[in-house]
Amino acid sequence: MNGPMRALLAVTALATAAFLFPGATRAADPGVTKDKITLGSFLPLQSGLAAGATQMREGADAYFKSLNEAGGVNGRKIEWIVENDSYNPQQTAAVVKKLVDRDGVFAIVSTLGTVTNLAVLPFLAQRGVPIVNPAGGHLLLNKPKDKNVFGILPLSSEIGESMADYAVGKLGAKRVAIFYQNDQFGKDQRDGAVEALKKHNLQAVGEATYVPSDVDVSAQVVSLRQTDPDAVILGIIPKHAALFVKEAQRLGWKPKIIGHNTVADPVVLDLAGPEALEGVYVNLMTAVDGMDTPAVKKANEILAKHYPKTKPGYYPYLGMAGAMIIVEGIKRAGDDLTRAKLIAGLESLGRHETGLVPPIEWSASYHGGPKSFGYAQWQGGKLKVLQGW
Amino acid sequence: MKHARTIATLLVLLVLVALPFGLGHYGYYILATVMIYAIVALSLNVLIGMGGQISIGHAGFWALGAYGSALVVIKLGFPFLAGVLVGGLVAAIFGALVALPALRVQGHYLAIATLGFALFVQQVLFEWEGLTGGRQGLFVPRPSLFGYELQTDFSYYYVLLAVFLLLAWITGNFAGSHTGRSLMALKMSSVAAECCGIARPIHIIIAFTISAFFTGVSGALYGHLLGHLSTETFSLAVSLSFLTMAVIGGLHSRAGALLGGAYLALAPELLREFKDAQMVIYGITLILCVQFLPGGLISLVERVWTIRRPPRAAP
Repeated sequence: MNGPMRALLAVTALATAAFLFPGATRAADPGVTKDKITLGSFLPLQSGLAAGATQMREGADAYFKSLNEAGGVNGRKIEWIVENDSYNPQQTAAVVKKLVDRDGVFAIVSTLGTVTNLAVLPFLAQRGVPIVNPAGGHLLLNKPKDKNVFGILPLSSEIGESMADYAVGKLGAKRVAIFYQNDQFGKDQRDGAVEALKKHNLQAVGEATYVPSDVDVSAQVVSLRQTDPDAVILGIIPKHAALFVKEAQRLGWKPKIIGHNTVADPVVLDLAGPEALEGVYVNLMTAVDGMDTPAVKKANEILAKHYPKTKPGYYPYLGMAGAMIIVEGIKRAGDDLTRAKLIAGLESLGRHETGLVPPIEWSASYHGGPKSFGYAQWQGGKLKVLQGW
Repeated sequence: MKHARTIATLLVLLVLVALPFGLGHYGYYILATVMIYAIVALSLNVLIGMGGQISIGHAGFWALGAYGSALVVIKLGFPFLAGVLVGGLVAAIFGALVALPALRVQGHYLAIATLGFALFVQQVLFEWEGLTGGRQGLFVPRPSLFGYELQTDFSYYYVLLAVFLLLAWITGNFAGSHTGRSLMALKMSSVAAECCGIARPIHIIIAFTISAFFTGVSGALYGHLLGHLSTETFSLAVSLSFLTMAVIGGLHSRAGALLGGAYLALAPELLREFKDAQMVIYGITLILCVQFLPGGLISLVERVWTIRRPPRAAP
């Protein structure tokens, strides 16, 4: 091996270290005992999604802790084992086999990652292990077909549909433009919005896209402005939402703007400032911090008690909602707890409100995400809820 | 001394055959991934160890093998083993193509060219939704042999072991062949070798093709193990971890390839308890290995071996 090549190998080796994997908590016990139920989860605690994954874990964990302090469910405490899969499906397959075969978890709850969740669905179905709240964007996660899978999130296309309906129905827009992220996340929303517009005999007057690495969207803002829309739908992530509204403000352009749930993220406010955000509408598929309902206040209290550094928001609420729902299912399954009974318990929920996500409506034939959404508006740097779910 | 080597090889084989018993599903799965990674390490043995050509684009060949096999099995109804062969061949064709720039560039530049190739493959597979399912990914059936589906990773492990041994045997024969020796001569001094009448281009192309074929086979086997493919699986991080694995195991030894595979499959499992401290452990391992064990973990074994043995007579 010559000099430069060895140096290159060394550098590559070091760079690899930066990509490799750390872990999470662990214990080992059978699924259901007289006084304990062991649940599991896999989260990408080290990857691009790590921040969200950590918050999701903290949201769910805070709920389990407070539940255990209050005596648990049907006299049993919950132990929740979280494994890190580094957003690598090979590792997800490994940790799930470990959770199911070694740790003997009863069920899996509040996991994150489309690819990683999909990779383990066949195994979980084969073993009949219930999985509640696999967070990702795929038909099999949002509208599951497997008996053992229960999704809490809606399909992205349904969010797009809802935003277009809101723009036309509630805000009276006649000319609607769409700005979206050029991948499945954005395209699904765009497709849903276009479908919904068709129902109103309209079509999108303008469309523009960005990719997540873009640092400037001014060209797209100008091109959309030329199509003269009354409303713009944003199928977008926080950073680009902030760029968009700032650029529109700079140009003195004031269409009605309706954004995906991500536009409710406090980060958008930090990046864009309250003035640029003033009047922007946001689709809600989880609660927002400022919601004045008992459920949200309770959730914030629990989170503040166990994880005081974690700000309430999309991921903590999502994780916690999964935890609340599986506990409700366990409660309904009764003392003689089995996986089949948990599934039956979850299917018996019907229309069920956690207050943190729109009501789910599970039955023997439907295990999917909600069909109704809330809307809020940024007013003076605060989100005001206009329409509950 | 020839006997000692044969006995050692037989012992290793025995251990490999006996290993999975009593390990449970989690253990079977980990062992299966060890074999899959070890095949990739073999391929890097050929390319880097013998050919002296670097690649940080092997995730690309891995992806081509995985998708190639999965698609012919799903869409054309090929049997599992034929699919694996197709996966290897698809990767091999692209391997020959990637070798073309390798004839002109060396070292860092070659690394960048191969990196570009891997990113290109990932992007095309991602965008070609009609064929690959794009971001939605692709579900791959379990492997089956002669009409019997291998339901557990226990039986699949033995298939993987057999494939690894076959490819390891080919690697050994290749190393001893005229072409293999010519390749090694080119690596030591390309000028001297060419003066002796060894054509550099064809040998580099052969090295890339064989290496890509092995990696493609591994990718194909991986797809059937995991059951679901997504382009996000074949990222730059994977290419880099392959390279790391090959260096840590040892670039000049088939047993080293096995150790490398074991390292890549086991390290995240064993070190998971250490949470963030894992990073430090990985870093230290890599630095120590590159600094003190340039021959990889296998050179440790060899060192112990030579200490025990009387010194060889000078040639």
